Amino acid sequence: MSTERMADVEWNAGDLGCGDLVLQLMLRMKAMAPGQVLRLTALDPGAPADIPAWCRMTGHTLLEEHPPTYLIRRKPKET
Amino acid sequence: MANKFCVSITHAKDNTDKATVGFVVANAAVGSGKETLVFLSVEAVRLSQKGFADGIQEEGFAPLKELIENFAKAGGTMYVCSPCFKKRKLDENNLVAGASVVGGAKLVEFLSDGSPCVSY
Repeated sequence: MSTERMADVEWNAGDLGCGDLVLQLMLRMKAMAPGQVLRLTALDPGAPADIPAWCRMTGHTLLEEHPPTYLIRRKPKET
Repeated sequence: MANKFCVSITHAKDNTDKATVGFVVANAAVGSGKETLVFLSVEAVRLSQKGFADGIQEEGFAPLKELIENFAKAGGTMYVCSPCFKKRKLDENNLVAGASVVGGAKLVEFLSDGSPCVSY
């Protein structure tokens, strides 16, 4: 329900999973401005585990997770 | 948490499943912000040659050529085992982007500060 929150960018990753998913996610995040929010739709069965892990490693903030939808805020500054 | 990650791949056309999954995992690592190294040795050194991966695609996976290209474009590095390369008489002027032929010391140096390594 709360994934209705405003997102700056939407991306439907479809069936992409594992390395393909997070590599594309990284590139899309890099193209966003710090603080912007991405609404991601990811159907891969590994995504509910992978997306939170990816956010923990990269420093982006997982605002909400309601598989297959995720709201991710880009970290303030790319390192 | 270590900021480096190594994927060691030893197969090419002799086991395209392993070669493919190795690069998928490498892409997961580079896509997660890790300084990522793919170490190609034994038969996998053939993957360092332009055109060799053309036409290889495992069911349910992206083409291997695309996985390798995406890895390099994202900043990943490939070390190619020098003796394995020489044994197969491959061409140092025909390397794919991101690949360089190195001796064991370069791999040891990369792993020596605690980088994890997964092998395929």
